[in-house]
Amino acid sequence: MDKEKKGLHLKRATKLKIIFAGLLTTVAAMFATIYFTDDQSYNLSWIINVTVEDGATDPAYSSGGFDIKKAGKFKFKAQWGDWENLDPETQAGFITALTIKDSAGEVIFETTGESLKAESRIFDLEEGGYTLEYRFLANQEDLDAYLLEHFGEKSEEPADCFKDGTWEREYSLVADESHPKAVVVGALFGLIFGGFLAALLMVLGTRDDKNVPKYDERQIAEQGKAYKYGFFTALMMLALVACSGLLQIEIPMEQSMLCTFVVVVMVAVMATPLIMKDAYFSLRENKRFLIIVVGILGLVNLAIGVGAIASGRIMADGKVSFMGGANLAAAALLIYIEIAIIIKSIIDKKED
Amino acid sequence: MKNLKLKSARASFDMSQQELADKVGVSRQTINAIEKGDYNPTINLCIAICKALNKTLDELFWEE
Repeated sequence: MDKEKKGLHLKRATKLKIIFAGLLTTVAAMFATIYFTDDQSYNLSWIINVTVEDGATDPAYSSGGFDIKKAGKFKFKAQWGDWENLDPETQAGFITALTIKDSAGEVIFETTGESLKAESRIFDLEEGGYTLEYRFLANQEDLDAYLLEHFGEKSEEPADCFKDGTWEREYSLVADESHPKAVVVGALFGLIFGGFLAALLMVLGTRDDKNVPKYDERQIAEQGKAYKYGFFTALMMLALVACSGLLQIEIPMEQSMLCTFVVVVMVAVMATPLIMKDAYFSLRENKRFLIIVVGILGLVNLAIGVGAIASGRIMADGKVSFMGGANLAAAALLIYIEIAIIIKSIIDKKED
Repeated sequence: MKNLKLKSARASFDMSQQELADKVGVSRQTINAIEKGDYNPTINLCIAICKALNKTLDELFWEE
């Protein structure tokens, strides 16, 4: 007995037209936003020869400046020395202290190190001139005095890098305009574009046959069980996260990455019984097409994740960051689903 | 409990599980699960299967 189905039923061609229109609109809006967002960037880089003799440096310091043309939010990226190889033999015999001040003489940013590659938090900078000074410290007394004046405390352990010699060093400072809102807008565009892409794949991978139900009654029953397992998995994981907070156990993941991890585990737990009980694919879906698409998406995300590991973007301040970690998590999930589908296919063939 | 009556009725029509599933509007695995006794179909599905195999509910689903 066929029941009359409620809802809007569009022809396949109409659905495809709506999806392509949505994709093009999203891409156009994204490029328009990028075009009209004007980013400022100030790059100061110079080479200094520093000589250390009997605890004194020549020169004692080196300074420069830059002008911010328009007020905005900026991040500083400072780099000097061989920060990748911290072998004392290769390091210079002095410590560099960087200080950035505004036109009123107020300190905006300061940092110290033998070698350094650092990125600051976001600062609100007004239009106007800014000065930067690299001070070279070649004995413990000068270093302690500097730290006491600028950071309120001496170093915990004496530095062991001081030695006589001459070193040529490149000092680089970049002040990049940062748009936190752009990150959110970018993520939103990504989600909308991803949504339209998912809709496109669903339309392409599904038979346009309203006489065939999407899922049969057994599949719907199995889905209910799978959603239950996923729900309780998410509940347990969130409880563990809460407990770790109370016990002050630090999880080496950014907050957004931790949420992504919970979602990935939850979906994996949910997908396993769905695949094993043949409730994952609907009756109308083109299984082979979707298996290929899932495989491709998994590999693309894996490539992006591996790129993030290679470039060092995967970690930020000792924690797994969302920017590279999310792709790896997505890749792991998609590849796991792919493997589960393949195993189920082998089991089904053996049963036949 | 296995449903051998359903299996033999399907075989008498020389019908595969997939063909019966397509006729009834379910997946092949659902027919397989019913025959193996792993799934108890709803009355609507039972009726649909009976119509497809030209049998009564008693002939296919009554436990003896």
